Amino acid sequence: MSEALLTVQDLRIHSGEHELVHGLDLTIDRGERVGLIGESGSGKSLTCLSLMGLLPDAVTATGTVDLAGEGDLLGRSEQAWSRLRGDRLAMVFQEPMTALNPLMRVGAQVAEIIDLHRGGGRAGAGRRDSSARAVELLAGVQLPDPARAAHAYPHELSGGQRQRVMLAMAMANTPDLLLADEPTTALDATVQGQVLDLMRAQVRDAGTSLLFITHDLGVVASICDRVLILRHGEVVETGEIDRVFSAPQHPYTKALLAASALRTDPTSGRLVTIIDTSDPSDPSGPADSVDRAPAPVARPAVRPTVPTPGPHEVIAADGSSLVFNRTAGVAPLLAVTEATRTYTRSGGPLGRSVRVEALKGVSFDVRPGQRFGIVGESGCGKSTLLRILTGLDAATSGSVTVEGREIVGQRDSRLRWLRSAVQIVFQDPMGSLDPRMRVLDIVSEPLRGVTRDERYERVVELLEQVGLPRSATDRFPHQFSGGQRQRIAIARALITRPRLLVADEAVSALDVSVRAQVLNLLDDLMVEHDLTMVFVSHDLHVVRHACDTVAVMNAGRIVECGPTQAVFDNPLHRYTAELLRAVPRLDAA
Amino acid sequence: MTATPDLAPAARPARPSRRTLGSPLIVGACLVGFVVLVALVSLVWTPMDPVATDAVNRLQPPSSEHWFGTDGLGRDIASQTMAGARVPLLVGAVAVTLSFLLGVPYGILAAMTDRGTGRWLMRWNDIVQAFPPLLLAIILAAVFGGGTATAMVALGVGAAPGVARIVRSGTRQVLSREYALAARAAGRGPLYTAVRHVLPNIRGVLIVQASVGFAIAVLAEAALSFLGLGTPAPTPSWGRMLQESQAFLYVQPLVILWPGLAVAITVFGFNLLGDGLRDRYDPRMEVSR
Repeated sequence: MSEALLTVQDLRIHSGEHELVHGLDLTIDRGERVGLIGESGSGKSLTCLSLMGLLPDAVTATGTVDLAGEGDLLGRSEQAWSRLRGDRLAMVFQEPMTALNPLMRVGAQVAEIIDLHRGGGRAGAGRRDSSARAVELLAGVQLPDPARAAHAYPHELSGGQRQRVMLAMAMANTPDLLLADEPTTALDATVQGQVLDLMRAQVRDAGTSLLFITHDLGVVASICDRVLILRHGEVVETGEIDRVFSAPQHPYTKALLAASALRTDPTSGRLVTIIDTSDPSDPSGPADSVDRAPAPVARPAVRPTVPTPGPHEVIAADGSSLVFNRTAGVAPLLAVTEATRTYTRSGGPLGRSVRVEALKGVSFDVRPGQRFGIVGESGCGKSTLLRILTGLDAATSGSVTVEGREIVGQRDSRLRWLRSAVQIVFQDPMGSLDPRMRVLDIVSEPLRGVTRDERYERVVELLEQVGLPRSATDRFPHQFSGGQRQRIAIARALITRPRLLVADEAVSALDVSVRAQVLNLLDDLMVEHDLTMVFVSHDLHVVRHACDTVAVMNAGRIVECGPTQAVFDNPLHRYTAELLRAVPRLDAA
Repeated sequence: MTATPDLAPAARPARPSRRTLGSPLIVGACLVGFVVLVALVSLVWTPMDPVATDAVNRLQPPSSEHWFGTDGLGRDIASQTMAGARVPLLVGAVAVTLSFLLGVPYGILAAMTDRGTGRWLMRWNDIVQAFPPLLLAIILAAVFGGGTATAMVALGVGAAPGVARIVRSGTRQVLSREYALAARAAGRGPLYTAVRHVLPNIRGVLIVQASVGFAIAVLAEAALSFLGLGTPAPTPSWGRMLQESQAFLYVQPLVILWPGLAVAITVFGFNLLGDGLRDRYDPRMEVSR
């Protein structure tokens, strides 16, 4: 078992004069499953691409990549590489929609891989063979009705099914090494679990080695034997997964584990964040670009008293209406009653139009000061709900009131008051900031009718509150990192001094270490600005930390709602229990 | 908050410089610059008077006196070619400006109104686009008389639907981004979004379109003048030079070479410039931003 399959020595990856990976050593034995963990910018994806000979033109790799029976692979011709790819080396990418050819039936795509490495489809018989083999492979990845799936186009399959197809393609020629780059990151928790199980089974049955690249420690725990922790292009720790996770040696690993588990500091009650141990003269990040943030003001460590928790309720079996989290005595800040949203999707010139019910009657209250979480998987209607709450989309029927004022059925021009009362933070801090606008203009966008000086003062004040220096005002979004960009988005949301802050997957696109910081920041700002928050996420972990009340959504309805602790410890609805089970856990190793 | 590692500056994206000598952008800019320079110089100086006829020295081959020779009326072709650059460049500039003035607001409007109205606006756009600009020029010439102004209007109106189409798809892309949604959530109206978010973000596509539109306008102006619908005599213009030299094609073929070459160089220059600008500005190529 200890025969080395792939030996990487002193792998260095350069882009121009920048060195992005600094001498990585890695050995993968036959049949071994190795995890490569790192946050964005750690060089994990570049490492993976270099092992497949797929680095972009401007990026070069040096060192040795030795594949058993092949010798050093680096510097080989494209032709030599393509002989290995798909045959001895195979790869599964993060986004199965873009990795599959949208105009080719999936069966044909699988068959193509088989043909390519069997001397090309010479005869008709060979073709038919590989088609049959493709169906077998699709059955192997547990696609329901594989013969029909083989005739489907990628867009006809769900995300999880597409990733299964990718896996079938990767495993088509039983490769010696499977490289998987964040293969389940784009998938929902329940689907992710199934795909991981399948991948583990496939790899084990074929005797294939696996290099699994991810930022998610929970996922790695469930699939790998050994891990490497990569940071700024350097391996900071490596070892058996049990050892690394239970007794991490390097401070970064410790902090990463704490941040991933959203562990709180017992003395302050705040989330543990990663301490920057990198050399300040780090060549990859010139310090002149953004000044260090001013020291944050001392803040009360105690959370304010949480409003009395609402009842823990489940949807009735007959689906009859029920107002979740109903307030008794206090006037709700936000009250949603029987909100529905139906889209009509036209089926083109010949097709019939299709009615899609995104929301099927949702009712709940949110009290002032509450942190209300909404969890659910993609397509459950949570984003639709959120757009209705913020007045960006209109409910088909039902009512939504904010501070007692109705917003459903109002024109944009009548909703001015709402725009300052309710603000939103989006998921992707890249997409939610106009790349051609300066931070000053971005943050002050919601401000109207104030003088230049006041505008500047308020922007600077808020930037300081979110931990960004004054000098950030005349920079553009691309000059900031992901976490900083999300801070800018938060500053923009708070500049009108809203009562209700709606966060749409606000930390989902961030690295774990940054995620903890942004959550801490939101926590502080909640107190400082006396905010009420609606926090939408697919990540149960985050909701558990950030919210005091949680509603679980499934198929356009809230199925369960109650105090976070009660819902997580004692789920009453079947779906909630299923969702909780599917979350990859660090202690599953 | 004791630690702020995410405050480390984002690593600068490695963007290899494309602006090497010989790239389309540089070559195109040089050609266009040359043509513009010649047009400007011709305002103050030409080797000879471009419109002075000389019945004795007709259809001369190139010589030290007449660099490019003389035409059927004995006019100096070098001077005419130089002076002939003014009209196409003027027509191009005005036509492109006009097409933008019409097409940009129309495209943004079509993208920002509701689906039904937007589609209806685009069907109108299709109808106008289906109408050949040349035919439009002929009609305008019939009604208002031919001339430089007619050519400008016809070409500008003819190019507007194409601009509107590009602007509409660009606008829709911008509107689908979260920052446009954030602007709405911030209580900003459509006009603000159009000016502050849409225009800056489709700027690149517009610059490319202007450059390509310029090339088309220069070519179309030559065609209109060739047909006698453009600039009237005696103002020098490449299109009319081509038309006049047609008769002498077998006597002195060089006569037709010069204006033809001038048109070709100009169109080539603008096309290269457009290509080069596309490489720089096309959002699909902007991976690292």
